[in-house]
Amino acid sequence: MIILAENPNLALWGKWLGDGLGTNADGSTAGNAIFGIFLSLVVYLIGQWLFKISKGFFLFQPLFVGMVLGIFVLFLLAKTFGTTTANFYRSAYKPGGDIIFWFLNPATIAFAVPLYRRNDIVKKYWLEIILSLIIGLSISLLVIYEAAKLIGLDRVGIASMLPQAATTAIAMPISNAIGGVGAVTATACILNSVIIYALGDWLVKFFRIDKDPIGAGLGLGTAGHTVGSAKAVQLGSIQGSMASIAVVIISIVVDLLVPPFASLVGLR
Amino acid sequence: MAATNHAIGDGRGTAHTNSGPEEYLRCDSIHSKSHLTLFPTALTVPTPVIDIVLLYILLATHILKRRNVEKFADFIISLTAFLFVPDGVQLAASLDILGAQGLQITAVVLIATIVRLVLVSYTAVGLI
Repeated sequence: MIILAENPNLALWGKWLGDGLGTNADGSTAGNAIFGIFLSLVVYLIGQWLFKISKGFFLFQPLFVGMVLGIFVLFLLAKTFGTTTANFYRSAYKPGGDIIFWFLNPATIAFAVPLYRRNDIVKKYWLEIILSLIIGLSISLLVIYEAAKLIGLDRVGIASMLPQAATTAIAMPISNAIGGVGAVTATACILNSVIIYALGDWLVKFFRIDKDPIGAGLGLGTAGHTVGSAKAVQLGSIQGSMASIAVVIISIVVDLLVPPFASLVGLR
Repeated sequence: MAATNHAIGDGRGTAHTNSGPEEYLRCDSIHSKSHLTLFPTALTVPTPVIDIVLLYILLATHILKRRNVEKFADFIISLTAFLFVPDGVQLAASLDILGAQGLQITAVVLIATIVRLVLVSYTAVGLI
């Protein structure tokens, strides 16, 4: 803050980055949205360029590169301005980020279209789809619970790991209810998307999931949320449809299954 | 809720609850009076999930024609990866959460993601 005031050059930056890092004089953190939008766009385009010139190296997926670069830039700028990364994120990036974030609503809703496009499959296999998600998630919960225990997470950590299959808005309150920390679960949900986005194609091939389009779609939707659906849409219409239905149903399955599971293993 | 957020300190909890569209990350939604009372309060159903179902019903009942929404839907779906950039960058606000048990949490999340992908897929293959 002091550096900002003394250096007119940096003060201009401060103005552009959201007027005062941390909080403004009036206590608000509202700033300029341009920086957030601009940074998101630039890092994503760099990611796209890297992906292209590396001929599709899986770690150079645009979203993954964009996210890592974006955090790195925020980290560096926060250091330069002498504030914490979290504060800098909130004051400089978030106003713009939220505007892009808002468009995720129509994007998520739009997955009803690929879902309906293969309504024939949905009508034919609806019971199998629901059963696959219930059985698949039940076994997954057990494996995740044991893995978390083995890796050495405490009770709070384990509870935070269980609801992550649901969309963030469902996963967070469940996590809090079974003794986890909602913010950790939200972080897990983001990481799910990033992992599926970066490794999805490779994992699908490695585990030979690609042979069955229904299974691949359901798996991608369950593991990678909306990003998994976007991946599945690229694989084919059946995959896209199944991933979209998985995102909807798995959230309800988590809602019904995770709290009793947590009681069963004695987490609460 | 407030206690949980306090426990992790530094406003990290609130950082997450305040970020992004409220529908996605509002963990207090089960406490808010404006919340849809159609469902029991223990069962949170976020708006995008309801909306997918609604749009699907509209399409399935032919109230909406597929060709009317298809173009825009395909367009915005192709943008999904870009729209998720702020979602990923949001981790900047919770780097310290990952700090304490960071490696372990990341490892468990990685395992959890792969386990779900493989088990749900294989279950479906087995059932169909």
